[in-house]
Amino acid sequence: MPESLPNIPSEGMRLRVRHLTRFHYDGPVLDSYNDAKLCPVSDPLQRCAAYNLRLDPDVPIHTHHDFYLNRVDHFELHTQHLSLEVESNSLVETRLDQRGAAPTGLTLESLHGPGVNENYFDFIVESKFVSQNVAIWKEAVDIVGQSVTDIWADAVKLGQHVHSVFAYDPDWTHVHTNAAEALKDHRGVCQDYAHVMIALCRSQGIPARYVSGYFFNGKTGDENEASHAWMEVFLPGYGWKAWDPTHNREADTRYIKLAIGRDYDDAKPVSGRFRGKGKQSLEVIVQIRQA
Amino acid sequence: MLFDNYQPENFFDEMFTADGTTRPHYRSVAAALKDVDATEFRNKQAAVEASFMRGGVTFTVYSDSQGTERIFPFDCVPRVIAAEEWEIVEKGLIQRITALNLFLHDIYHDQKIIKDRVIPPQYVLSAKHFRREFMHIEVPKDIYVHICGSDLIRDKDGRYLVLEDNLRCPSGASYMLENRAALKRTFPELFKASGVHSVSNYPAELLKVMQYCAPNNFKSNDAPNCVLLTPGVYNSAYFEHAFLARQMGIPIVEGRDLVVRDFKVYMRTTAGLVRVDVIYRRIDDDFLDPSVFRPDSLLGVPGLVNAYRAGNVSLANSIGTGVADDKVVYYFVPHMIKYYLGEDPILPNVDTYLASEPQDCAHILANLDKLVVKSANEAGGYGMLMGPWASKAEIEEFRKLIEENPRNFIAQNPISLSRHPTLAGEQFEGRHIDLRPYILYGEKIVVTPGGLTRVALKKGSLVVNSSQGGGSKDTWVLRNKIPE
Repeated sequence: MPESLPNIPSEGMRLRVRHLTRFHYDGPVLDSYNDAKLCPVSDPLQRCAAYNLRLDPDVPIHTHHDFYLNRVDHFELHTQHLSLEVESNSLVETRLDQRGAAPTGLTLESLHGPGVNENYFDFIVESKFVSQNVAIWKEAVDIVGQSVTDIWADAVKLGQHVHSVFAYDPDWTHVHTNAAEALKDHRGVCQDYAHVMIALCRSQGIPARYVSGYFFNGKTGDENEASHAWMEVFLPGYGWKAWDPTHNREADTRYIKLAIGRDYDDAKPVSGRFRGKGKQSLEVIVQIRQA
Repeated sequence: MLFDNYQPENFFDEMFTADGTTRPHYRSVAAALKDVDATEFRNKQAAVEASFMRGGVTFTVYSDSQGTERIFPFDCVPRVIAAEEWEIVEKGLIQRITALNLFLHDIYHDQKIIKDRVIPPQYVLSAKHFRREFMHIEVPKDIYVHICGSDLIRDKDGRYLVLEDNLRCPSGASYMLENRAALKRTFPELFKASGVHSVSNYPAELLKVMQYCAPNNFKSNDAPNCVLLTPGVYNSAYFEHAFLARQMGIPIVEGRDLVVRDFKVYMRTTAGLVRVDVIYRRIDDDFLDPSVFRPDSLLGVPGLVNAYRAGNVSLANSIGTGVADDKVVYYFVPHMIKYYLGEDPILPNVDTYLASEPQDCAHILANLDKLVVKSANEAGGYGMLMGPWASKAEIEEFRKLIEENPRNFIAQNPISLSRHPTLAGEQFEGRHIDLRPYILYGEKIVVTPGGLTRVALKKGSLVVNSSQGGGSKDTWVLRNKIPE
């Protein structure tokens, strides 16, 4: 979301999140198969202190980890139903990044260095929502020049570029808009900002991945305003570093990470398929409070 | 008579040495066929083919306007493999499948082989049949490839080489069994005193493998319930599906016959739902479960993958095995054998160039008229360029394809496949052949002593695929060594 708190917090935060997704069907549906990626990640930058998933109708949950080690809560509803509620409640402690500033002067060659064990291949090639074309490549070259001389600085330039030419427009795009389409229209939501910045980075050989999560903006309303998406860049010897092109800044302790992937398709908070003629309508409420 | 004008020419001939002497392991066959005349031989061959047609021993050629059911043309001269040759083939195949199975476990878990830089990650991650969805799933007994059909060829020195591996749903085992039965009916005298290994155990061995790989959660004193899952009667290999199910005495089911409830798989029957424990699936990953893979698939069973993940059902073969069928990954199989087993490969690969490696690519593009180019994920002889026999236009077309997507292509030096006497008109002539043995991986690895020998019936042709004018032969493995 574009609004933000004026001050970047100088310390970690304890945040309580309630994320409710309600599906209504206008006719009975059955055989519904669903995956939820709603559990906040635990890593050096945040700790998930508590997490609970409530389902209505109440069915068993099977948990596994996907290819990118995101936690997946899988559940199935075989009998007829007219609605489905998925509610997660979690408590997260975010921390300041202790790694310090991003290293400067990293070239693309450093990605092939002997100590680089990260398997970033998936994050430099095309994916479902991040395809490549000449327009994307040209847009990136116009910003960073013929070759990348500093991975992080150049990635940030690309992110700043996206922020400066894009208009935030929640009514323009939809969840299936890909990077190329969003770039053509220069509008979209956080998901599109992230996809376009990722596409620009990958076109220049910079490993870039998608992050889905929440942003705590200090508001206390009921509306769905906290779901957010941003991206991360891989820096050899440092790790993945986050940039939020929607807000044009590094992610800080107001950001809660849920899942990562090549693009939105790998990191969807709730996804599923069902059988039946019923049309689906969707209601989402995300509330974040300081705990 | 039939052999009167036979010329091995400049090829490795299975039956004769270069100077025309019959190889020792073919002596009994040669003696039995010596007095058969062409008319009688042809009549018998025609009788076999008619019985295949009547019995429905057929396959379907897709995208052919004359489409419909065809038989796999049968040649009555059996292909004979000497006991000592087979010993090597068997050892080599066991070694190869062991390594491939370890590879599959590794890349769907720790990916050590990638971290140790034996295989560059991009080749595995970009493989069309690498299934990210299958990551970290435990499979019963850690067996991924229950049924494997690797294609072997012999070069001009008679060395056995592996041409490709088929780790998804290899077909053809039914022809191996039918060919044997047919030859026994038509030329019973050939078998006399030859000491041929029986292949008829295959279905029983296959069933044993399925039962051995019952799911981890299976706890019962009864045998696990096994079924064969087919895409249906329109599938090219439906005959084989029905044949094997009947031979094993297990139900043949389609996707709509199965249903998943609470992560368990059931079969719909007139007596209600019956639990299914092991599925021999002849449906590709893509179509297996629309809730995980292709959502538009009507052939599969929604929920099957998560039932598998939960340890309530077994699949043979497992999911994601196709990554090792990728011809770029094939290039690395000898490295896998070295890496996982610390051994040298017993059966070598055909020398292969990877178009995605700049140096190899330059070589390929400069020698398109001399090389065989294959796309990484096509089977059945499609998507191939036979450089020496191709037209200028075909070569240019492939040049463009390779430049556009080098990852998708490999190239090999053309191998002059071994030849075998085969009926052509009034007499026998040499025709190129390959060999597909069937390997079953259960409590131990069993290579069925025999296999499917495919023969390119067109003179000079090197393409043996059934969809491209190939025929087949009965394949004998001799029990005993024959003295020189």
